[in-house]
Amino acid sequence: MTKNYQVKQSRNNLPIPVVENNYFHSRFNPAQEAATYLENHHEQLKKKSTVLILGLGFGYHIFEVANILAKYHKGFDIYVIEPNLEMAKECLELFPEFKHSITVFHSNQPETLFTNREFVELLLRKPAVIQHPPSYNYHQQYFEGVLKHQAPADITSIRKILNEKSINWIRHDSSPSIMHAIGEIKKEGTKLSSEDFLLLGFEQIVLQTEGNL
Amino acid sequence: MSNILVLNFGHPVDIIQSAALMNTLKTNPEAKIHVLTKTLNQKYVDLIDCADHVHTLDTRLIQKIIANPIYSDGHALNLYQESLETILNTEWDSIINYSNDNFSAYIMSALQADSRIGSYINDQGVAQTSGAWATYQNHVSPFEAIPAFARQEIKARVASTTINPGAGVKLTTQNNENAKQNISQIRKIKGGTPRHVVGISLADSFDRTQYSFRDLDLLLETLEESDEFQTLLLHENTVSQRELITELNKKHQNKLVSVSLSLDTASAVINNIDLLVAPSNHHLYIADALGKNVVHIREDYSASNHGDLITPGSYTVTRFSDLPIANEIIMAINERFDVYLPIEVLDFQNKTFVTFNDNLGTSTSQIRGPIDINAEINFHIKRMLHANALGESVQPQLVEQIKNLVPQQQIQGYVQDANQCLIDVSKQLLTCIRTLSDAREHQERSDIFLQEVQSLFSLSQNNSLVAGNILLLQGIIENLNHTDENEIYDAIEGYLFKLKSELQLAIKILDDLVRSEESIERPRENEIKS
Repeated sequence: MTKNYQVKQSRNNLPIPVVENNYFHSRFNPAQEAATYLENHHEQLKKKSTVLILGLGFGYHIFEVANILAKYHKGFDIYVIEPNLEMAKECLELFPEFKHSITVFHSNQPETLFTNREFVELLLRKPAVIQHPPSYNYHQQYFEGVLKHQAPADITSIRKILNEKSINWIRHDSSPSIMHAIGEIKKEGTKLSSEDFLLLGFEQIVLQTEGNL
Repeated sequence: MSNILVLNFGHPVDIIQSAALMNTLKTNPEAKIHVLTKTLNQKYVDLIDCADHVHTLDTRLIQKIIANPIYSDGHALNLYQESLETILNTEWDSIINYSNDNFSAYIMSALQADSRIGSYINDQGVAQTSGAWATYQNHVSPFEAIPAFARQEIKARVASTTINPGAGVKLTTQNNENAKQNISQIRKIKGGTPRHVVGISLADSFDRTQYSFRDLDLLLETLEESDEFQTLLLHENTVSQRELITELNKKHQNKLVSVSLSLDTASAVINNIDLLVAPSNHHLYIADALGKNVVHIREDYSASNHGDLITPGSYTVTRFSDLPIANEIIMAINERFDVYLPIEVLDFQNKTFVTFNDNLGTSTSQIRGPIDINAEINFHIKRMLHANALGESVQPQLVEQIKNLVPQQQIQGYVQDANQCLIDVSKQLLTCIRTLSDAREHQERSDIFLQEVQSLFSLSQNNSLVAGNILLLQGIIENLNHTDENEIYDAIEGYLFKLKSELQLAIKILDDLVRSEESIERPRENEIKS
């Protein structure tokens, strides 16, 4: 399978990916370019030890992010979204240390990322979000799709996410949402099953304000 | 081996105080006690000695996922399922809905268990209670401004056990020994005879009650100037607490002793002091669960249902005027240690309550400050009536105690008003009994009977002496799950006659109150003659 990008050498002899004449790192000095770009992100990285970077390329900016984080935090976590799987793989081969120090999320469609529990848990931690401008600009539609994502609420979509146990709890497939499906249980007036009780308990958690529950 | 699951999704106060009940559940040493709680409150469950396993549910995370439209609700449901999986796959000997909340009521029925204790939802979606005390907990207690029984007492009775302050809080030998040595040094810090150590907790309160600087200053000044006390400021090392201590030290020549406590070390230190003064914070409830006497300061006694103390002899001081509550705190310390620390006032304008335990259980009674005597008489008689309705034996000597403490005229005024309310309830009860007979014979008259029963229930709103008994009756009738009409009528008739006997007891108590007043008068007349 041919790669969907080319690899060229920078002036200081580092490999850089190029797609349709779009250079994903500086043609002169990728590390220096990353340092200059990230100068404006020190405050953000000082406040948060978990970072989500939009775009991997060949990862020269990742080293700089790690350097800055190390100044301010004893431990830190770096996550990266890279839509180009081939590029991500080659980057990890180029810098094997990334396999242990960063987590790369990949998907062909932005919405697929949100079916990944690990990705959702990362977002719930409210990470600092930093763009890698060349990657972001090239995959602008994809990254905007990530940033503007709204999860579908209907049961058919939710079923794709549910695990093998909870998937059996829901009986009302045509419901527009889980909460609606739970409402249907109450309307039916039939004998409640163990699964119904669990869903009704779930509803109580959702309805309660923090403090009461 | 028996497996007991305690569902505790309550306030941190409920969790800390449950320690005094949990140890009584572990009568069989092989019994394993599991607790299901919110992730946020696990740190409080970790304080409990008898909790063998803690299962957590991250309710806040579930709420966050649901509230944010970028995440699929499916992730929240998966998280919920995974968190409950272990307890769903376990067969329980008994499950206790300790926190008595709706979520736990549903989960009670989703789990496999031999017995369910407390409130649960039946397979028809109707709330059910496991016994009279559980019905009382749901239908009577929430409507009482000053509860007849401490909430923890009710929870214990629901679980057919007792509260046992002084046991159940985790205390490591090492921490306790270290604290004992340190407190022993603090007792002798000023030389002379070792002093009583009074801890004053500055930790943040759950209900936002705070000391005024004036109160703290007056309390510290009085205790520090005495030869019998040494104060110890307990804090959590927050900026505001450190600033307060610095400010207080400026006024007390830097002689104040303070200690920063983590949740892990608090129990050991509190266990080794002699008394704790605290607002509604975790220090207070750890002390109470340890059976340590406390002086609890509160802004408003009826503001929250949380926090009835369980250790007899503990005080609750509530602000009721602009005067410092320090005077009431010092008075409580005087009583507790039988000493005479100086007090600025004798006419106490703030309210002081004391926690007591009698054969009816643990409760609280006002002992100082502006008092509504009628409300106080009503409280004590109501307590007897509630206990009787719940099948407990009542205290006949209470009538004599009221007679000795309350002026005759006041008692007569109270009895007159109370009797009028009882007459109204009696009339309506008899109407209910009569219409019940009609309804049995003529089905078309069942609506009339139901209307009369509703009218009886509505009398619980007039705050009469038997309001709680009516509420309990309502709860019991709502809890009936017979399917046969005759069985339902039989059961309701039985409960109506039970209420009738409770009314008769109330009338007898009121009669005795008045009669005993007359019997006081006779010897006095004899004395005058002689």
